[in-house]
Amino acid sequence: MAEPITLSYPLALPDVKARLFLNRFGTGYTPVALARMSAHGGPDQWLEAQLSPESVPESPKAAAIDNWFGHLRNSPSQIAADHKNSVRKYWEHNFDLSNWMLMRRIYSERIVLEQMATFLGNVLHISSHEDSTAPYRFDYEQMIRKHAFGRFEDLLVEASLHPAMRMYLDNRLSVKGKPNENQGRELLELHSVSRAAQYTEAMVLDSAKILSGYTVDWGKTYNPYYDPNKHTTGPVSVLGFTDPNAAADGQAMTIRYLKYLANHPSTAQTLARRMAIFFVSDQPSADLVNLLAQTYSSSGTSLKAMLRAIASSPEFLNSEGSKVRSPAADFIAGARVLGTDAKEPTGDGAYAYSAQWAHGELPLGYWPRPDGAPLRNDAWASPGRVLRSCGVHQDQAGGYWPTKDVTYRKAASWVPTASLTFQDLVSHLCRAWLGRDITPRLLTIATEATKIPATRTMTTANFPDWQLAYLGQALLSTPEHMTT
Amino acid sequence: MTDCCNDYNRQAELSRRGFLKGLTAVGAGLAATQLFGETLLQASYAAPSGGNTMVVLSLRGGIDGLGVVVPHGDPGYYAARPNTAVPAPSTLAANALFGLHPAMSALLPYWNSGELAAVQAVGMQVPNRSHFSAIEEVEDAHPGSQARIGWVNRMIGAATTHTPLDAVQLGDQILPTALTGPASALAADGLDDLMLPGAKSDPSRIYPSMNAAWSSDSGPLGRSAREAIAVSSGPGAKVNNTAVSSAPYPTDWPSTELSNAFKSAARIIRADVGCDVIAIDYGGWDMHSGYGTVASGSMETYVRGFANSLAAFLGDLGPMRSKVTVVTISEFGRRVAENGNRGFDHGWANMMLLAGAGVKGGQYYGTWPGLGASALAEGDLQVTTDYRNVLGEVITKRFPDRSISEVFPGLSYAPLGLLT
Repeated sequence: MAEPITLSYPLALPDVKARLFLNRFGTGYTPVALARMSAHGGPDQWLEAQLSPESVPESPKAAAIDNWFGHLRNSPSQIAADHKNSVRKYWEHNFDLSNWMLMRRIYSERIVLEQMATFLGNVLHISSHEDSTAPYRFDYEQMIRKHAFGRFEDLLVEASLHPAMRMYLDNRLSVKGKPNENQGRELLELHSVSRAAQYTEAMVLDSAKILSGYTVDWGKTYNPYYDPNKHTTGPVSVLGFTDPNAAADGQAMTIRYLKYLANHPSTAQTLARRMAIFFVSDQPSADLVNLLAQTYSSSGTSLKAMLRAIASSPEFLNSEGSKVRSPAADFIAGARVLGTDAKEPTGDGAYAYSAQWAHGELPLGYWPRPDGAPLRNDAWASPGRVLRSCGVHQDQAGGYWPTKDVTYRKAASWVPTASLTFQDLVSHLCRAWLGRDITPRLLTIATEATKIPATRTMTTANFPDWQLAYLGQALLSTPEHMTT
Repeated sequence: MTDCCNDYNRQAELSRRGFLKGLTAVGAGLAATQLFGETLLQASYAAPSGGNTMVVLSLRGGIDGLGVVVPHGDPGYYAARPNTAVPAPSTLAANALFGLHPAMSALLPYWNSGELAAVQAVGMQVPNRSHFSAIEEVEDAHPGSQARIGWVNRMIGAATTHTPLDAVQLGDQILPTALTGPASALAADGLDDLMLPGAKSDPSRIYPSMNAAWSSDSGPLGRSAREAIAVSSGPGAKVNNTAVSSAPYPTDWPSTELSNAFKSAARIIRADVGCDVIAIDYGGWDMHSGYGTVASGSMETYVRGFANSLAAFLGDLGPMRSKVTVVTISEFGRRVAENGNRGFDHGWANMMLLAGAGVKGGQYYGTWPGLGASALAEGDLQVTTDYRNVLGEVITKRFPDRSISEVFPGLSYAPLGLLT
């Protein structure tokens, strides 16, 4: 278990690099996370430790969360039986998976693993809207985590053949002679080479032929299996991959094909670009993308090597302020700095079951299409999003919703000494919530929102909770919190 | 994708709806997001009050146009679709070649009164069977250009007058390509989210503090935040003060999301904030499997839901229909022939529907290329009408102050005579 950390006043101030590492590679800065980073010796050492997640002591809360959602680990046939018997319908199962993901993003100490789970989950996205994926969806999530710092080649092979993917993109339905094109196309377009590789419609069909045969014993055992009677034979040719495809069993060929795609230069470019956009900026330089693509290829598709390359790139280190947090990421970072304490859920309306509706984005994993939730700013940088997130910040700071099975910190708990000026209190909160030093602008934001003069002496007695709601809303509805 | 498991999907969706209803009572702010769900609704306000409105309904996922505007007079249709074809006698509003899917009966009165029309074999000039790049291309509508500026954005940008808001999207916070560009655009979950928290009860706190936070910010969120402040104090408040319609809308799955989007659209139109374009995104049409038959299955269910919701919207508008024109788009049609799962993979040409103000309805438009083997393009219905000519005609007739060459650069404009 992770060692408890005691913070002293005044709080330490992170430098830009520390803040960037926590906010981009992780799910968000907190004073405690910064203290752990310092204990490791700095951002680089901290990142190395995070890249071996099993070496990072986990928080007690993270273990508790796994128990709250223990039923996610049930076997596919059990999950199917629970659906049939209305113990837990598929859609409820998928929603619980989403809740589990959100709780882990907030409370895990392995915050780089959580961030990579978000990124890779979008690259190889399976929408939780698709009820039929439910029996396999948690295992899919675990599979992504297993490979998050490993080789993309292994991840692509396992994800493509995973029963959750067979269900989501229809491959389990493919029939001999008329393969379903759905996964064959998305494998090329979304999961590997992208349209930049200029594959033809004939190649899409061949891609579907190769994949055909991988199915699921749906309605009976729910086990995945290979059915040679569903495999379409005949010569295939996709972007330089060729095979006579004469055997009824195409499994060895399929693995070769998926590894071939993983190692294709177009896949290197595509993944490098997406990673640079997610971790660095919307307009990464060609040099950075090429560097990452080269790293990918020369390291045998190592995701860990790519993260290290980003961490040491000057372009990354100079990129603070260039990424807009998605509404969910904004909420997660807010819950972390505000110290929102989720308790074991005891029924409908519990924080752990309802927080998904509080952030204003679709629940995690519910992006409705196979292309994954957007990585670029423009999707999240609209006035409506700003309006929505401002309301979210007020709910979070004031503890207005959700209210069941959760403890929000009271205003008095944020007063760090017996008495101090309002300006010093704001200064403390800028460090606690934003990891920033106070500026005249931040002070104005705070005094306008609360109508408390900067010089007023503050104690636990004259800082009511409703003022905390105004102040939290105001300081979180800033570029300092909403962008990283 | 969406429909491999239709047998239990419907059941699950029904319980999901009940679940969400329960949640609505719990948390005020969450209702909009989830009730709209996959249905995105966007509105742009560029016109002065009292102007016309164009409602663009994007049938995302690639709707099977041959199953909506059924070519029952072409024997190729029945040859290619032994399991899924709509029988000729069951079609509505039939002429010698076409008829409408029978699940569209709610729209028949509008067809008969000449307010609803259909165009067949319409789409992009060059096939693109990728959902993601096809819809970007459809919404960008400027072939060859590298700038990511959508046609709706060019259209509102071409207006001679502007309100404080140039564009709004409701139903989701994500801006689609059509609205992206230099003209400002807003995306929000729902109509209640058009105002800042406390803007009604305590405006002296929220506005000065938000102005201090964002007035000189040059980061990626700065412009949007400043627009948010302007929206909250202006048209957002006006929409917020406009009553929700009590007109009846279908509430059964899968109409719920679309009905809510239409209801909001009607409210925006009623608020008369100078709204040019409202775009609604209604997904669920990617029917690689589970398509079903004329009597049951995904296609019948979704077409019925769509038709019932649209009919409710037209009814809700009442006399305001004289200002509102509805047009459908989709990224591509589907293949002519069934796949191995009695569904349809990605194809090319599609249909478009037009309803409301100015539409010369009760007719089928377009040039039919036929479904014979030699007429098909890689197994797909050929495009004989550029979709931009349909949209272009709506813009030309309903928004005569806009330059068509600015909205659709490079288009050789050839209207079909769809509108008066």
